[in-house]
Amino acid sequence: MDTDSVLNDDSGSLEHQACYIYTPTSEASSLSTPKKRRAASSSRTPRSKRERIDSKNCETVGAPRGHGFPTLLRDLEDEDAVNARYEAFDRFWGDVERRTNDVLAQVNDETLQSVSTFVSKADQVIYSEKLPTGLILTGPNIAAHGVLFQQIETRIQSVDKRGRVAILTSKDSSNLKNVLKKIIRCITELQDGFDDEDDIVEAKAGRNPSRYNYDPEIIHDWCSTHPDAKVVVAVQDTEAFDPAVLVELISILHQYLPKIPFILLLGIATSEDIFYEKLPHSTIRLLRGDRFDVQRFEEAMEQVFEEAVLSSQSLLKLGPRVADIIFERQKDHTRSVSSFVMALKYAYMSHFYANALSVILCSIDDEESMNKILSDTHCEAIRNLPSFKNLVESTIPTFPWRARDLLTSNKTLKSAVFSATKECQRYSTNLAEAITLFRKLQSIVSPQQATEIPTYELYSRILWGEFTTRPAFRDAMLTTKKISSEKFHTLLTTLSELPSELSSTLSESASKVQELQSEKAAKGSSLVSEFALPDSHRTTVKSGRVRLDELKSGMTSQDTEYHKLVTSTVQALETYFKDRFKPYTNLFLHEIFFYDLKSPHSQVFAAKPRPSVERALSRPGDYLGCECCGGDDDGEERGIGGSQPYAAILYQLYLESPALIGVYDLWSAFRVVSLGDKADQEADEDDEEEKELQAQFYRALAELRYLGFVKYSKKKTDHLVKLAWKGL
Amino acid sequence: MAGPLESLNARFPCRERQINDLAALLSQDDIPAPPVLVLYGTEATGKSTIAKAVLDEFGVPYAYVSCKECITARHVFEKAYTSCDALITPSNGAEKGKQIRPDSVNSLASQLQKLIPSSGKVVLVLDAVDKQREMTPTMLSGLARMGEIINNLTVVMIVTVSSTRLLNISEPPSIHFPAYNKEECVKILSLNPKSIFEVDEDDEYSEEMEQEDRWLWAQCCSAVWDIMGKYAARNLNALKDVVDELWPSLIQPIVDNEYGIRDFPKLFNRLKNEKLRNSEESYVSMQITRAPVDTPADAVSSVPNRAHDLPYFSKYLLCAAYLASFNTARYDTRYFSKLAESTGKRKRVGKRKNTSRQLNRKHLGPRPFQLERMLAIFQAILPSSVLSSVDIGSQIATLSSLRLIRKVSNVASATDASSKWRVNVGYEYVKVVGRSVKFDLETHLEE
Repeated sequence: MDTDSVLNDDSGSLEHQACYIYTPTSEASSLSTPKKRRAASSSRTPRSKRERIDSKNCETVGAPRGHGFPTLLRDLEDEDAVNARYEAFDRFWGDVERRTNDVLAQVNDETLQSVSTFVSKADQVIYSEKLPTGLILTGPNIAAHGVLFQQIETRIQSVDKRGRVAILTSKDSSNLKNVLKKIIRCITELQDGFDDEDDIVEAKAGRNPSRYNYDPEIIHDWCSTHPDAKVVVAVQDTEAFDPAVLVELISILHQYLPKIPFILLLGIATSEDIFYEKLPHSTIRLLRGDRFDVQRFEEAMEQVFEEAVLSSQSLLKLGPRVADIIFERQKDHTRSVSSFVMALKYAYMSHFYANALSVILCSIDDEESMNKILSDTHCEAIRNLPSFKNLVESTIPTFPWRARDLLTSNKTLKSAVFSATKECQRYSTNLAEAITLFRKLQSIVSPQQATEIPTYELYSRILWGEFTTRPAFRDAMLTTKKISSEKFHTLLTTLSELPSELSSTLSESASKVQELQSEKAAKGSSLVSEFALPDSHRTTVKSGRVRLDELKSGMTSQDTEYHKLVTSTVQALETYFKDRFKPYTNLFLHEIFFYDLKSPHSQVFAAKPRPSVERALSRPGDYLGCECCGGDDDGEERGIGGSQPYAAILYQLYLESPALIGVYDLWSAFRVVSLGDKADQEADEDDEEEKELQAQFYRALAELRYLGFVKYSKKKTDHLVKLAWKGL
Repeated sequence: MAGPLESLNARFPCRERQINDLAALLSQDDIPAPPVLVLYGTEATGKSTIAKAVLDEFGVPYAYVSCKECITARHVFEKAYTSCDALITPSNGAEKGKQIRPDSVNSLASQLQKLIPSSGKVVLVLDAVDKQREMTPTMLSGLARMGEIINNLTVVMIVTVSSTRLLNISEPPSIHFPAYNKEECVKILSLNPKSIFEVDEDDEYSEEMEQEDRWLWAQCCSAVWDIMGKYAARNLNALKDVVDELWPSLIQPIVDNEYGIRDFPKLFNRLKNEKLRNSEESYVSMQITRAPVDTPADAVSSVPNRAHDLPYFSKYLLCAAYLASFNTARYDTRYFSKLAESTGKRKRVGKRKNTSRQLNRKHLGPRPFQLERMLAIFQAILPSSVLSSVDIGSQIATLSSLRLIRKVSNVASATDASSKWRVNVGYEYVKVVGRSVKFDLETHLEE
């Protein structure tokens, strides 16, 4: 209910939505409930919940603002702070969005480049009477296809100026005539405005007699005025395009190939084999060309993630719970970068919308302005944060007077807040740095693992601080010890190039390894550390040990030194990672810098209409909250009760029935349930109650029908067919 | 008179009779041409090319309309008229105030009658007129009779098969272009052989080299005809395509100096082995072949790029759709029930009686299923249950717009529980998809 009120309050962003104003009849209840909630919102309730309640309270008072952000903190928040939150959202999100868009624009660049080269090289001489065809393997994310083809169009048409592009979608594929009309319109830029009825295009510039508006000769005319231009026909969704029309289209394009330099681009979302299955061989033989791959989702996602979340420019980070939800949904359901960007925007939005303390983020570099904007209420709110509690508890043993100051003096608190913001920023930068370092290490040491698990899946584990105990981390460290000396050297040099506090140590060791290597190479062998010794294949422990000793005795002083070096370097790396991959919850004010509320995302992005309807009908008590409908908490199976809404009763009876339901059976069962004990009496035709019940029965039945659960059967009179099963 | 015929025969070998007939019927100034002439023969037998060449050579004024290029019947009429118009009054196309646009055979005939002068000869060539996309029953015979109405017009119709029923004229004069046999094909293709070595500007293309090119090319053509003449290379164009495709790999050993030019059997064997080694099923690929463009970047980027992936649940949805299409609904409890052990045995006994069905369901094609049944199977095969949300619905929509599954009933709402669907991809594809999520399709599939 609270979320509803928040939404209704947001009148600025939602345009003219129908709303229902609930005016309670009894005054007492309207007064008592908010009070109760206010009392309940002590320091122990989670902040988010409290603030939602706060926003509810403010809705009557809050003057309409341009942005629709509510006044939080039980309406005690300053007007300035509200505006500051809104501005901060605008600023931060605008920045992230811009950077994300830059990354996304580059993602397809390689594909665009090769398509463009293909188009420019397509030539009659090379293709000898075949239609030049580019298969673009776009992947199954439909939402991205439109963008990609738009990019191709602008690339060929505006940037490279190689000709005109006509983009076709399956909607145009009703028949050949419409397809050709669309192509001609796109190529010659004829705007909609001529009469479709007589199929005639008026002669342009008197050059040629007028033609039917589907006549490809029009393109030919256009081509004669644009001698070097290519005509690219791009089919965006080849799978959905009517195959018969596609075959016709290809044959027409092929017919006109001597006159018009056609090039065909086909977007294929599934697989090439499926595409070839649909076309006859004679058509395929008319085509000749190449295939282009679009960057896979994982790679694009990784780049966007690094830019939008990891980058030190993004102050607000995703918390592990939200990250888990978002990335799980990506993996299981959508696999599209744009939906990730939407989820990220929603995270930013709800953080600045509902968290009064997000105001801290606006003035992160300026202590004075922060002190100014943080009011006493803000300080009070900060003292209610769980991370503040942790801070105080950890301060008490060492500096008890400081803990007292934090609790009593707003000034001390503010300075603590300011230093905490610095601390949080440092944590984030270090984290990003360490993650990049680790990824680099992984990509050198075990490239296969690095490609299997993308960064964004490691992210939440790292934030929880448990990543260093994971097998993935331990594996990486162990293999680092075991790799060959050449590889170790390249590892050290690449890692030392990355900015981190280890870089100097690493480059030192790198040069040392180099030295040892050259010394050893003079003797004609390569460096070996003890870790890299082959595992013994002898059967007994003793003989294995003997062999190991032999191998060890073969090692030179350089080897021993190298071994020491490897041990110390790996040790240093491990401590470095363990230091950086600490849980974020240790930080004071981590609630401000990490957005980690699960429920808004799961509710907004994965709505569950069907389970909701089913639950409302099968357990109405959950929603009504009244005593009579079995709202007690202990009963697992509440079953059907006569006091429940009629539709709910009918639905539960419906659940128990077979696929074909007799209406009369249903009615008698319904009557028994609704009337309870009185049902034993003989039905009386004139009984008013009976009549009303019957009306209610029909009404409930109509409701079920409207919801798509039943329909009337044609097989048997007075029977219903069951359409929907519960829980699907 | 002999001059043009000879040059034509040199350009188009093995077609002497047809060329002579055409020349006799159309090019004699003193003999009136027949009102209609039918040229028929299968694909790639030189009908259009020779007709045009003969008319050009003898200077007969003609208008040519390729009906394959036309989209509608009106389009054919319009093209026929404009091309005749351009033929008779060549330069004043732009000054025409009112555009004449015949929309039926009748109006075309009457317009042409006005247009064509009473003296002289005009030939209208209608190429592939039987391949026209919008064929009306009277169109062909109407077009054929135009020559009867208009005195000095000859309509040349080029068709694949000729029959009296086609034009409703008893025995129109017709010339048959039979398909080329092996010798003829090789002879024609040998007219312009491809060379083995790249000929540079300064290098002289010697007589000897030309001889060798010609010899090897002819060998290659005849070998390909022997192997594939009946299947892939049924006509001249297809044969040329196949030879063109095989040629570069065939001559590679010669260029590399491994074999001499005369070692044709060895060369061809080598080619065959190579194709077998690359486990290609046929000599010619049934896919879009790459054009011989120099793309050095391609070689680098050919690192096995992992295929684009469907989302996790989409894969299960596709498996569920496949199972729903290929399993019978009454055995669903057996394959998907959590209590499969107990009910399974009972059902199996019942099934044994029903052995009349011999064909595997897999081969009978997918049958429609209700959406609700697919969702039930989806929930049953998932390793852990998932609450249905809008995401599942949108994935079904995505699968259907990718045409991996498709709706077969005309129920208004796509997500209506009673709408009927059908899987639209084959077993192999679904098996691979299932394997990628560790789902064994076979165990749930009815035998």
